[in-house]
Amino acid sequence: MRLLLIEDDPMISEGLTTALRQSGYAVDAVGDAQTGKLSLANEKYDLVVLDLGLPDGSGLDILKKLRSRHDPIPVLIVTAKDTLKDVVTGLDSGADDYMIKPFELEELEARIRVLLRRSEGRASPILTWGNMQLNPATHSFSVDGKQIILSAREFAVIYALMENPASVLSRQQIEEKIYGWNEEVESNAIEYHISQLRKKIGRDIIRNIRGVGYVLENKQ
Amino acid sequence: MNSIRHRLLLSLLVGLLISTAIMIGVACIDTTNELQGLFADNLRRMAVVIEEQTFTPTQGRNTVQSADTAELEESYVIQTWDGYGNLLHSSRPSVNLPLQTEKGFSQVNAAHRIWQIYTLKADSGYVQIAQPQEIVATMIGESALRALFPLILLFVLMVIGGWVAVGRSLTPLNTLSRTISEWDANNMQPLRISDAPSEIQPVVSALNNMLLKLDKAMSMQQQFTADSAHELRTPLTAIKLQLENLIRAPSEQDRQYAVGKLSEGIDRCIHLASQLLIASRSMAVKAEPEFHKVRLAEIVRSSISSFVIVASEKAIEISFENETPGDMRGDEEGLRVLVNNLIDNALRYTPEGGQVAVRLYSETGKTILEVGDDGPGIPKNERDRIFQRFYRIPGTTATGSGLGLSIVKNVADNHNAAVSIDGGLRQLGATIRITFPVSA
Repeated sequence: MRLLLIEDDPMISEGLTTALRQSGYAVDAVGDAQTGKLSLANEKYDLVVLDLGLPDGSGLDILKKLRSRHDPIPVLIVTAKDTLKDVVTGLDSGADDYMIKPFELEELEARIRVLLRRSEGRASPILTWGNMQLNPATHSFSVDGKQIILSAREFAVIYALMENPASVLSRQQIEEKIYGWNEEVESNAIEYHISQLRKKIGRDIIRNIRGVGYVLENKQ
Repeated sequence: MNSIRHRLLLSLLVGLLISTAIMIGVACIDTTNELQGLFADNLRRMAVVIEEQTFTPTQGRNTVQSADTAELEESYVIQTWDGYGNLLHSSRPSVNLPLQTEKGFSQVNAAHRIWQIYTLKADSGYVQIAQPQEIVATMIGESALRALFPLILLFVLMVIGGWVAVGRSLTPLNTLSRTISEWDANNMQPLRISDAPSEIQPVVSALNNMLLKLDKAMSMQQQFTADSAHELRTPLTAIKLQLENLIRAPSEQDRQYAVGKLSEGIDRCIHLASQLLIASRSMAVKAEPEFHKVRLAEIVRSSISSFVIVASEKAIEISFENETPGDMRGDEEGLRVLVNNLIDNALRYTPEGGQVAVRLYSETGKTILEVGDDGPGIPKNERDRIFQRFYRIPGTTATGSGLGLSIVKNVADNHNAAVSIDGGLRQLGATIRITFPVSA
């Protein structure tokens, strides 16, 4: 899951990035509207966390631009603007949710999960594939009802695969989903995470299609 | 006696009393004179009639003893005397009144009474008619009382009328005070001048002016409080996140990192809080504060020495070029805050290894303080806005409160000093120049 964080306060940006990365999201953080627009135009994100008061304009402009080109990407506004008018304007401009600073990190993460779930067209918070179950909220993953402890990266990889169970994800696609820009990715990182996963959940669950990428084995 | 109604009524009453008293006095004197004249005239006429009847041979002597005169006996004493002074007749022999030698009117004290006497000298004797003075007085008193009654009635009516009229005239004042008593901090409607009588219009317009000023001051204060609360949210949000990250830190290394970040966040909150306090103080000093003789050079020197450690941590070279002692009258605390903020700002935004140059000199009689740096500088189009509260230049990464320069501006304004911005050192950064009007 790759998130774009548009927030001008360096401390909040840093704190949120740290927290979200620890939760297994790939996070790109930008501090102004211009860079935010550029990032959205050039990269594919699963969700945007948007601050409204940006130094070079309002976050609402970014939002309106996104919606004007019919981009359905979930947008969660996180701002200090707390009047009813601000909230209504934010939501009516196309935001999917609105949170007021200071917020509870847990709640922010829960709302992010809800938005991701809805954008994937799922009603249930739990992803299921064959005998595997993944709960993004509790960060838990089980096979045949048995809990398996995964690292944040391993969890992110299996999450990405289970989210798109019928399609093959290239190594680069997986990388994009689990690493932010400024995170150093070693060339064999994805292979490493996949091999670690295979050790924990079984060799034949993730299939490698040579030259294309990875896909979950259809067991049904 | 601070009530207008009471004052008006009192002066009205005093006036009424005095004029009524004068009226009564004049009426009494008039009546007395008139009645006395009337009585005297009466006496004289009676004397003439009696003289004719008594001393004219053609008429009978007893005519005087008519029923009419009998009635008068109580109040009159009628005496006739012959030419030699022998009493011929007295209507009341019990009252012994001597013959007056002087003709005309006279007064005699006899038989425990004062008598008003008229003596008429005829050819063959005297006629003397006397009347007790008290009867005259009683009659005068009675008629005076009759004249007094309408005056007293008039007095009472005028007091009542005055009370009502004064009360009515004061109604606009009462309405005004009711309107004002309904004012509160959130609802201060200006008064309608046209509603007020012309006498209190100056008061109303003064009140309205004061209201306007108060409203402005209050909305400034409210804006400041709102802005402050808003600005506090951001660092508090950061702290909350940093704390959450500390709680969640998966490893000792992560925990160390999170503790460092949390500490930075708290420092930032403390800085903001103290800047807010200073800002609110510098805002409050609007009237000429108690200015004392100060030496600006000393303030700059002590400020720089308090920043030496911060500067050396960032390897910033800080210099002070002191060409004038900068003696002036000023608010020492305010000036200290001003200098501290200028130097703090310069150090905050200048990157490591940079320079901060402070210069104090005088030019055409003015004392000028300059703080220059070789940091990122202030773009020309931002130079007006950076003095606004909480305004921070876009893309600024150093943590500041956004209050420093607005505080500087407030203090400078209090000293009638001009603030200007120029390019900084080595074609980099910015110089902030404070020009104090006179070097004393």
